[in-house]
Amino acid sequence: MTGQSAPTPPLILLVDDDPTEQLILKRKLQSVDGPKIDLEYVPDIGQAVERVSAGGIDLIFLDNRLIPNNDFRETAPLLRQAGFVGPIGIISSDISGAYFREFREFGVDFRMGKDEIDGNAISFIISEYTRDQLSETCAEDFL
Amino acid sequence: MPLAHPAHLMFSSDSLLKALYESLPHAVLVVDADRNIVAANAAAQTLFGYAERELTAMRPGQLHAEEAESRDIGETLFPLGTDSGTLHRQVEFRCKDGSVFPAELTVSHIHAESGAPVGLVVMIRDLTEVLAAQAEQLGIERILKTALETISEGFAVYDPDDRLVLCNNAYKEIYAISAPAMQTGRTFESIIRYGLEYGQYPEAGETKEEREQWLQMRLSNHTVPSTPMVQKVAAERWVQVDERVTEDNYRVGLRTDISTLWRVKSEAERLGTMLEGVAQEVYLVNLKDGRILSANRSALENLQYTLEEIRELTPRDINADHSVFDLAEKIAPIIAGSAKVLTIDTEHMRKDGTTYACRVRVERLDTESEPVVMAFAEDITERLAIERSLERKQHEFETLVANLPDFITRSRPDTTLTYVNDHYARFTGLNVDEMVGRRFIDFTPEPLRAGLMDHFASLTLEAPIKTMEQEMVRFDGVRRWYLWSNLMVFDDGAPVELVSVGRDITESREARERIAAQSRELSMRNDALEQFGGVVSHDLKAPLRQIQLFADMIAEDVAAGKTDDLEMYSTHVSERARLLQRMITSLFEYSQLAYQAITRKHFEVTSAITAAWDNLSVNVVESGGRLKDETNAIAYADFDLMTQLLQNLFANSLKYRQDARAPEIRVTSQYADGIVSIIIEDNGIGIDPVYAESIFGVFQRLHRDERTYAGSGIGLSLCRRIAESHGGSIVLDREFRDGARFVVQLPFGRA
Repeated sequence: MTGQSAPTPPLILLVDDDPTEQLILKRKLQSVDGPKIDLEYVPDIGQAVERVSAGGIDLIFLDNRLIPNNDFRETAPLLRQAGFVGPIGIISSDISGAYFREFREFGVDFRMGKDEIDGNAISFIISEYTRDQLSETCAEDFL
Repeated sequence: MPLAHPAHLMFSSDSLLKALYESLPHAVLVVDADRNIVAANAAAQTLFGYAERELTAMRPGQLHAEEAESRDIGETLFPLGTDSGTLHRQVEFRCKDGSVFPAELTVSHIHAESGAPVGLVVMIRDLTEVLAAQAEQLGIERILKTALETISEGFAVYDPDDRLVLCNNAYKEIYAISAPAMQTGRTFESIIRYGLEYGQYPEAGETKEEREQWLQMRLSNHTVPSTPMVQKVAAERWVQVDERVTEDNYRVGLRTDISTLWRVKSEAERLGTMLEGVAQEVYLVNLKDGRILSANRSALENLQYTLEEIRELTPRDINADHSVFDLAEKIAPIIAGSAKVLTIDTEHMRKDGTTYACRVRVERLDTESEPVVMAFAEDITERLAIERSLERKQHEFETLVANLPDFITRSRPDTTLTYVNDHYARFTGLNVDEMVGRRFIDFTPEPLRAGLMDHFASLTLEAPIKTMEQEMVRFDGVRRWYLWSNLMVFDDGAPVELVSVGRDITESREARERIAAQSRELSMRNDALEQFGGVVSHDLKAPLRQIQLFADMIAEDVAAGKTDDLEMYSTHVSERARLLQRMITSLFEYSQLAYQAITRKHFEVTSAITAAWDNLSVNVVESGGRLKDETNAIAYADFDLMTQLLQNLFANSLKYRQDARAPEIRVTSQYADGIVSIIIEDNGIGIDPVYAESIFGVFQRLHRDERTYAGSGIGLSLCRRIAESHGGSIVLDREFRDGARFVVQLPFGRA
């Protein structure tokens, strides 16, 4: 590297079979204070696996129930198997099911109700789960 | 100097000496210094058988029987010295006739006036009779001693000073502990005290005072003996002490070992006491005259007689049940000696005329001088009452057992029956007698026998009773379920009897199965309810949340004066609201059908197929669908629910069709093992086998795109609910590739 370039905005991948959720999340990201956050959307787990395999994803919001799959216990491991090591958060309209408590066993870092997602929550998640990763990247750049 | 003739010895006392010399009963010889006999008195002549003339011609040594003895005496006395000592010894002499006799020899010296020895006076005392008498006495003493040692009784003599004179070995053996003190000369008291010190007398007491008191009593009896007394000298040894005082004030004691007699006496006394004390009546009857010799207290009290009165009676007098003839006939074997023991139930009559039932055990005793009969009689009035009560209870019990609806059997461990109640016998179609002796395992269906025998083998001493449910076949082929309680009885650790009670539980078992089925159904409904909860909390929340968010966005944009996206937001709100409405409608439909009470009936499957197809007539026309009904089955199910099931499957087939092909639906049926299988297959887009199970979940849809495949995702879930509520199932055939094929299976159908 010959010079310090502008930092790449964090890229969130939304995996949800309801395209409306992309519209809603995009609107919420607009309300987040601070640096720009990019959002990509895929409607099913197959496309999600392809996308994470291509690289560049910093954070995944994974809808709990993706038609025709059952729940995150079936889909989240597929993302890990595809080599994604970044944070995965399960989002759902209802996270009261007992099985949600087992999320760590399936490679999930956090769970969140869709009604809990707002500007503050996204800011916190970005800073909490992507900071170290970005630092390491930057550290490598400056070697 | 030669000794003078006796005539010359006439000194002043001559006459006296001469008389003495001649009258002495013992032989006297006078011997001079030259060893010649110079004089011999009459006794000497008589003793030796020689005349005086012959004796005076002899030397004294010639009269000795033993030459060595003669020489020894001669050397002792001769030559005569100044020693005036007297020789005194026992020697043997020989008479003229050659006979030898023992004699006491006394030799004294004769001195002259000058003091010089001049001769010897030899006095010979014949000891023949003395020694004979002594020998005789010794013999008698030996015999007496032998006799004393021979007798088994202890014998002791104490002198007037109460010192032990003699005792035999038996005496020492009886008083073995005191024996070391039994030395001649020791006093009776010291010997007794020795024995007391070392524990010779168990009855003397424990304390010093008690023993001293006992000693004084013993000494008193010893000093003034009266009647013989019994004395304990060891744990199991008793002696009879018999003491007498002789005229010379000697005490002669005799000890006789009476241990055996004493024990027998004690036992006899105890036996007598026991017989006297037992509750049974005991009689002793003389067989000869038939009179009662004796009776114990119980007999006397029961019969109200005194002993004297009863001794005047015979058994006939107290017998109230049997005639004289009958009694004689019954007792005849005892009298004849052909029977030793007899038991007779009879009645005894008291003195006041009242009677009581009793059982008499009669035994002949031949050990007496005269044969007698020992009779033990027991008042059995109460026992008879108890026996009658027991018999009554047993009868009641047997009646109860015979009439119990349960099966009751007793058998050997190999199941060979020893008892069967009527109910079980009737079940098998046999009578009781036909069943007893047969193995009940033979009445068990062959496939169950090994398991049943294993069950019996598992009965142990620790767990002797177990229960098991068993299906049994009645003689007419009807199958019933029985709960058997099997109890194995053990004796010395070995199984000896199996007691089994079987109760008909057919109805209760069916009820239990019904309850289990209801529980399963309830569980399924609970699961469904839980799913409903999930649906409400998840799937219904999603559109609601979205409506709220879009409404917020519209409000924000309106407030900000932005109008570009308002139409899009509004469209989303409308779509979400419609989706919500459709889901609510579907849920209502599901709840109505899923929890509908099932009314089973037999119907032809084809009728339900037709009804379902007719309900979809609009879709059929719109899709151009065709149905091939190739079923030939009768289902036992709720007609409406089955119609709904088929309608849902048909609707899916019509909906998920391939673009270029009109939907074709083919329905076939199979029947096997009481199960009806209905197979519905189509030529549509098919279902990935990966989702073969998940498609039956509530609101599970494989296709999100409402424009292509609209639906709520509740149809297949409802199909599964309906199938399972009938005890059946519905699955996707994973192997079918030309579309989708579902297999519905229902029990209790008929082809």
